[in-house]
Amino acid sequence: MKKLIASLALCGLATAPAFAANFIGSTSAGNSVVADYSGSGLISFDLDLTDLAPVSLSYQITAEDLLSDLDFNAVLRNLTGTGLNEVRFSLSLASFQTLGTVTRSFDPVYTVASSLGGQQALVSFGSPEYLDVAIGNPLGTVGAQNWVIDTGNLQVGDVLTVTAAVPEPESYMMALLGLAALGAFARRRKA
Amino acid sequence: MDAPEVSTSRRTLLKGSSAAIAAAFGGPIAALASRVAEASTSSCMAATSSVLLDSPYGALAPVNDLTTGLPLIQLPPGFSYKSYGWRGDVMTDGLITPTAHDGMGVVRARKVGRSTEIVLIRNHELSTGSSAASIIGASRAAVAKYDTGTTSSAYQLGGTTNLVWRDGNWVESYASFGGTNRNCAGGSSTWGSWLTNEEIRSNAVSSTGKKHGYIFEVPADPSLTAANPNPLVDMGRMAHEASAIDPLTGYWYLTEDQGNANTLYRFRPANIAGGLNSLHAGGTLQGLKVKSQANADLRMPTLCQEFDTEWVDIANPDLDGATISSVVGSVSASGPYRQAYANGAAILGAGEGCWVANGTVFFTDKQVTTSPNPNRAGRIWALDLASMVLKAIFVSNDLQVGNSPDNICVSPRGGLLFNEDGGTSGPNSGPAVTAQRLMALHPNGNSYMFAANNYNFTAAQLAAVGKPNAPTGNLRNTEWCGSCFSPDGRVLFVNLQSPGLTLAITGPWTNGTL
Repeated sequence: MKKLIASLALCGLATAPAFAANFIGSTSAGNSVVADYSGSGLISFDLDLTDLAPVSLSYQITAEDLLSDLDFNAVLRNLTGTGLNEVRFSLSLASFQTLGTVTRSFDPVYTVASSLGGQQALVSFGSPEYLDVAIGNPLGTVGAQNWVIDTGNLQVGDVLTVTAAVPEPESYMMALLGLAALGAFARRRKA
Repeated sequence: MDAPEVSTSRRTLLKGSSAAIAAAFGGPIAALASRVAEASTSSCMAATSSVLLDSPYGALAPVNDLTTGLPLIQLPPGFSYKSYGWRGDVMTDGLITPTAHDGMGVVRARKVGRSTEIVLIRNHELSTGSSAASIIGASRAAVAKYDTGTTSSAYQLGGTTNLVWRDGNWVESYASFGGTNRNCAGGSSTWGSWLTNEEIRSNAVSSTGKKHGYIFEVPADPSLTAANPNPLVDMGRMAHEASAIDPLTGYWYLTEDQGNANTLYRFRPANIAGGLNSLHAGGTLQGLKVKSQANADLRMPTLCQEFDTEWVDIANPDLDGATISSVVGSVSASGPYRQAYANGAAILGAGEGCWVANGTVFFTDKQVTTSPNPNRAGRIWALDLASMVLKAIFVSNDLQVGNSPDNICVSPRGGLLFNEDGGTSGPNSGPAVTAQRLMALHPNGNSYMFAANNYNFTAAQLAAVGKPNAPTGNLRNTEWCGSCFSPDGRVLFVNLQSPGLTLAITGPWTNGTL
C-alpha cells in the first residue's frame, strides 16, 4: 500500500502566496520524508532520503505558475547510509527547459543530462554521495542556479508530478516490482 | 478576533515536518544504536587479551584533504575529509586559532531555515606561558575567562574555540573561553553546552587567588550567553579528563588521568532538570568501588572479565591533593581520589575517554607498561548502569592491537571508536610504531584500524596550501583526539593535536561497525 508522507514546512506556509504551485502530497513505497517550500512560480522541496524507494511529489498548477516558466530546486539529504551514484528527476506533463547547477559539499564533480525530450534529468556523481545535494539553488548559494521547468504544455488545474529516484539497479527494480504487484492487487480488488 | 483555525491537514503536515527534522538528526539511526551498543558488551569473547582484526572497511591508504590537497591522514576506500581550524589560521572573530587541539563535542544540531547546522566546541590543551596576550580571547572582553592571573609567574593559556559546520561545509570558528590550564577532554551536555575540563592536579593558587583542576561550562553560542567563568567545584578538582552525561538520569561520569591514583567518578547534580548553569547548583561526587574488595587493582584485567561495583562518597570535592600510600605503591593523588580511595575505590592506570550510550558508561585506561611490569597497552571498560557490572571489553597487551586508547566515542549506529595517544615503546608484537591511529572496537572485543595519522610535510608544502604557520616534519606519531559523530551519523569530526587541525570525515560507514 502506498504510504502518504506529505508534509509542509512551517516556514513555507508562512512565506508562500495563497495560490502558487500547490503541493498536493507525495507518495513512496518507502519512508523518505518530504518538506515542501514551493511558492509562486517555484517548485521547491527538501527530500530526506531514508531509503532508496522513488518518491513522487504532486503539484496542482495555478494561473500564477503559468505567467512564466517554473523555477525548480531541491535539497536531497542522503540518510540511507548508502553512497548515491545517480539521482533521476522525472516530470509528468512538462519538461525541464534548463538544467541549472548541482551543489555537493565534498566531491564537487557531477554531470547532469536530460532525456525523453527533457522529461527526465539524470544527475551522475563523480564519486558516491553520502551527504546532501542541492539541486538548483535552494539555500541561496552564491553562483548556484535553479533549474527551470517549461510550462508551455501546462494548464491551470493540471497536476504536475516530480519523481526523484535513485537508479540503483537492484533496489529500484524491487521497488518497481512491488508497485506493480500493488497495482495488480488493486485492479483485482476493483474487479 | 477569532483565533486562526488549524486544520487537521495542517496538523498532519506539521507532524511530518517534525519527522523530517528527526530523520535529519538521527531518529532512525538512534534505534539501531541501541542494538549495536548492547552487542558490544554481550558479544565479548573471553580471552587473555584482544587481537587485531582486518578492517571491514578495507586497507588504509593516504587520502588527500579536500581543503588543502595534502594527504593528512590514511583512510579506507571511499572515505574523504575536509580539514579546518588549523593552528595559526585566522578565525571568524579575527583571533588566531590556538594550538593543541584536544577534546571536542557536538553541542548543537539544528535546522536554520533549510540548512542543517552543527556547532562543535573544541578544547585547546595548553598549559601555561609567559605572555598574557596568549590567553585565549585575551583581547576580547566578551570571551569569558576564568583566571587572567599567573601561577608560578605563568599565565593559564588553555580554553575553547567553537566551530560551525553547515550543509557539509565549515563556515565559522571563534574563541569561546580562556584562562584555564590544560583543557584536555570534556563532554557535551544534553542542553547545548560543553564541559571543558582542566587536566591538572595542583594545590597552587594563582595571583588572583584561584586554583586549577576544575570543570567549566561553555554554551553553544557565547554571543547570546557568555560562558560562566566560575568552576563547577562540586565536580571535583583533579586531573580531569572526560565527562559524559547519562541522558536517562542526568548523572555525569568522569575520568581522571592521574597515574595509578584514579577511578571512575559519578556526579549527581542537585538540579537534575539540567539546563545552562544548572550544574552550578552543586551536587554529589562519588568514586567507583569493586564490591567486597577494597581498592581493587583494575589495571590488569582479562578480556570480558567482570566485576560487581558500587559507588562510594567523596565528601569534599575541592580537597587538596597529596601523596598517598596505596596498595600499588606511593602515588600522587587528587583530593577527590584520596577520599574515594579511603572509602575503598578501585585503582585504574590512567583514565581517559568516557562516553555514555544506552545505559552503559564506556571509558578508557590508556596506561602502557612493559617488563618487569605486566604488559599493558590500554583497556576499555563498560559499566552497565542498571546492573553495575563493570566489564573489560577491550584489553590491549600489544601496541599493534591498541596503543593507549584516549578519547572515545560511540557512533549513532552504536560503533565504538577510540583515539590513540601512545608512544613507540611498549609491548609490541609487530613492526615499530610509526603512526597513531583511529581504532574501531569490534563487538567481540577485538580491534581494527579505521584511520592513521599521515602528517609529514615540509614548510614549502604547507606554505603552498596557505598554511605557513603549521608545524613541519613528521608528526605521524602524534595523537588523535576529540572524535565525535554528527547526530545523523554521517560525519565524524576529529582532531590531530600536534599539527593542530580539525577534520570532518564521511564515507561508507555502514561497511563496518562504526
